[in-house]
Amino acid sequence: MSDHILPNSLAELLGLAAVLLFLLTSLAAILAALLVRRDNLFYLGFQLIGLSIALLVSQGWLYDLAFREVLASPAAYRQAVWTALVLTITYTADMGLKVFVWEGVLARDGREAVPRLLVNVVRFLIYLVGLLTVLQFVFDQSITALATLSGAFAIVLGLSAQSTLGEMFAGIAIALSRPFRIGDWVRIGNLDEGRVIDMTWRLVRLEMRDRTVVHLTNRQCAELPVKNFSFPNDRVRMAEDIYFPRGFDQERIKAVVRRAIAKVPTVLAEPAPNAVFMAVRDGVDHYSMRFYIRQYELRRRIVEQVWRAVTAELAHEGMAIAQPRQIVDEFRRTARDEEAALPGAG
Amino acid sequence: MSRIDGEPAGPAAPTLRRHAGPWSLWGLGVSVAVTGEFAGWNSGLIEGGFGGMLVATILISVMYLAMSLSAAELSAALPYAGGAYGFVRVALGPWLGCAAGIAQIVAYTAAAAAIAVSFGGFVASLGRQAGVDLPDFVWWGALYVLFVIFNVLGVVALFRLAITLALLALAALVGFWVVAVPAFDLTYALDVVAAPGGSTWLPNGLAGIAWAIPFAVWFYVGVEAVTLAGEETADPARAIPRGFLWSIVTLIAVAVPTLVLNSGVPPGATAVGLSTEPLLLAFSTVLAGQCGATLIAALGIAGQAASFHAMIYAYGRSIYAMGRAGYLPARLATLHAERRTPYVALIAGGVIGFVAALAGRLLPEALGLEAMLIAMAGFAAVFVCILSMIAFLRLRRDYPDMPRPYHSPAGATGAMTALVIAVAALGFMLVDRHLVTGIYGAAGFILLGLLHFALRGRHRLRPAPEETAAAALTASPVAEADAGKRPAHV
Repeated sequence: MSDHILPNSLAELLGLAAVLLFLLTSLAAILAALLVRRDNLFYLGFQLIGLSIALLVSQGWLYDLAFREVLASPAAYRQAVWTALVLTITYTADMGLKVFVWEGVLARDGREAVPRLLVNVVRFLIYLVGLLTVLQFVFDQSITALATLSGAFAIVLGLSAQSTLGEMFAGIAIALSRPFRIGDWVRIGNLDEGRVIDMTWRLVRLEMRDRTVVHLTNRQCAELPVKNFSFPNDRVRMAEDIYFPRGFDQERIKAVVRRAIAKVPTVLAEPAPNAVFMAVRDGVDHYSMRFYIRQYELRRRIVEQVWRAVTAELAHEGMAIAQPRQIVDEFRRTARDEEAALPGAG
Repeated sequence: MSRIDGEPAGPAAPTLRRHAGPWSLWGLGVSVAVTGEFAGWNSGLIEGGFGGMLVATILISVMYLAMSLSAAELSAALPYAGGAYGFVRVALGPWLGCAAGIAQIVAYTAAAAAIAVSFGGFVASLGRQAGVDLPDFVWWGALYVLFVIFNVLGVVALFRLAITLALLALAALVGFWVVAVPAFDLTYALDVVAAPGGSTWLPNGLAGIAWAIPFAVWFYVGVEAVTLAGEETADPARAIPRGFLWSIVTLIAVAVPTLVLNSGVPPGATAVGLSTEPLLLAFSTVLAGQCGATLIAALGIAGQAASFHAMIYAYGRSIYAMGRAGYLPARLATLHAERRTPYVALIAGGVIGFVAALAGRLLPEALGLEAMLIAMAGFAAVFVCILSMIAFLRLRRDYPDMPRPYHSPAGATGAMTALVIAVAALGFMLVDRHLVTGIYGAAGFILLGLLHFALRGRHRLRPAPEETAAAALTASPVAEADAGKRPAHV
């Protein structure tokens, strides 16, 4: 070895340090993935990119030192390193999609929900782009024919899978805008309210109160109005009508009702329960009992508890609930009226 | 199979006092390693040249940064006085836990003894100037007595002293940089004569980097002592990661300028590489005739006092934790009733260190006991680092749901990086003929410790926090939840 082979300036020395460092950290990342967990392969991509860049900037001394026997010329070294750089960028993009999309926003219950075939097609296209880039820019080969073929392939694939892709993109939109999550109680369009039990790359499944399951496509969910009872606000206001005879003290009624509702443990203390005087109708005073709950799936049971508490409290106070009464005037025609109505009578 | 029995400490038994915050731990971490900035690393200049030493320092800096992040995660999750012994015990079982604990004691006791020799030499020279001419070993003993007393006084005093000494040592280094910058000339740094096939920057070729790695370790060796303060930290989950990272970042920030400036000023890298006091040599050469020997000695004292104090703390806690768990005699785990410091362990470690240093004086000089102590400390520290990183990886793999108040951002890759570099460093140490005697010494002590454990210790394990944590982890719902993923081996 002589002076010109070994790194012999600060810049070259730092390049050597970078090569060693990225080599060691890449090796460590691979060992960690093999022996511990495979959740760091995305970051391995960045280490490999760093290693490729370090190899690129160290070409001046590294080719003579280590690669002269393996690669025919410095140009071949450059081509090899550039190829490695482009392919590691491609690998990083692939891993990024895996971590953040397939197993990220599009994952359901912590597992990949997008069909394996679609994932593999996308991965194939990513590596194809990487390979074409290498051929065009590193090896200076014309890729027109290949690119045309790939473009035609992509068009055919896009047309044949138009509906499927539409659903998938609608699924991505839902995943990003998050109008609902699994477990939320929602009302979508004119449907009854139901609980979201599954979200796939194509469908949303709602379980209705009668345990039937409704399947909606992602596109339907994206287009229809969604009323969510669970997210982002997890407190839902309930309102129940109640009637009292005319002339009862309004303040006393409100106080008794508020006190009674507050005794129900599943009713939230904040915002506080309330009773609002609504109108005089059908001979009685009309009130609305208002209270907030958090467990929307238990709303029926909670309403029942509220009614029990209110009726018990009213009984304790000696107050009665009234029933609205409507007076119906009935007019009957007699035989005489019928005859009088006949034409020519009278 | 080892067995845990014996009576747990009663409610009246004193425990270590919680006091330290992030800055106290920073002071401890910087103190314990800062003497490595003053001396020890410089032999790497002869082995690898300036370039080789620079590359080795970069690699070792990355290793220690990754190790610190991983050890901070472990220490926040298992904040016990045993440090690495605790992590390894929980993750890898009592045998390797014992090996890690003994290695930790060897590292800190040997390092403290080596510092006592050079520190005593400085104080002796100051004493002679002041008209007090005593043999060096008297000063060694006096220094041991003085700093053991500081450590026995209580946790508040010792952490305050650690911060003060760390700041003084850093001020001394900054003072050196200020003096050195105008005199810097790269040709001084590159004056190591190249061997055949070498270059100006790498006089011994690429292999020189490998030979320089064990010396680059000296910039940071001992910083993991922060993990020993788990039971004396007020809020371990928050304070240990912060204190640990601040320490290692500080040490990295001072290591690189010290390497560059100490090598790049007169008398040059070759003379600095061969010196036993490289910083003082460069300082006195640059300021030839402009300052007195007292200032130079004071500069040397700053770093050595800081590390001597922190090393005594570190071996004290290591011996205390091993005694408390039953790996060593229980008497070593006695705490001072009032000060709540492990005074028996501190005194015992001091006596062993003093005897070791004295033996170096009495034995033939050819044996080079001081160099052997340094080699023992370096080997044992790297060995502990390797076991700790394996423990980290094992816990990440087998107990992913174990409560971890702090997660290392470098994850398993960081620990594996530290492990790979540490294994490489250990390999280079093993083939370095200068270090091999010390390595045999350290390995001998570790084997002796394991022998003691096999014959006596394993039948007398006591429910120390580290032992109960290990037992709790295997019996916890976390372990049961993870049992389906991996078999538990603890």
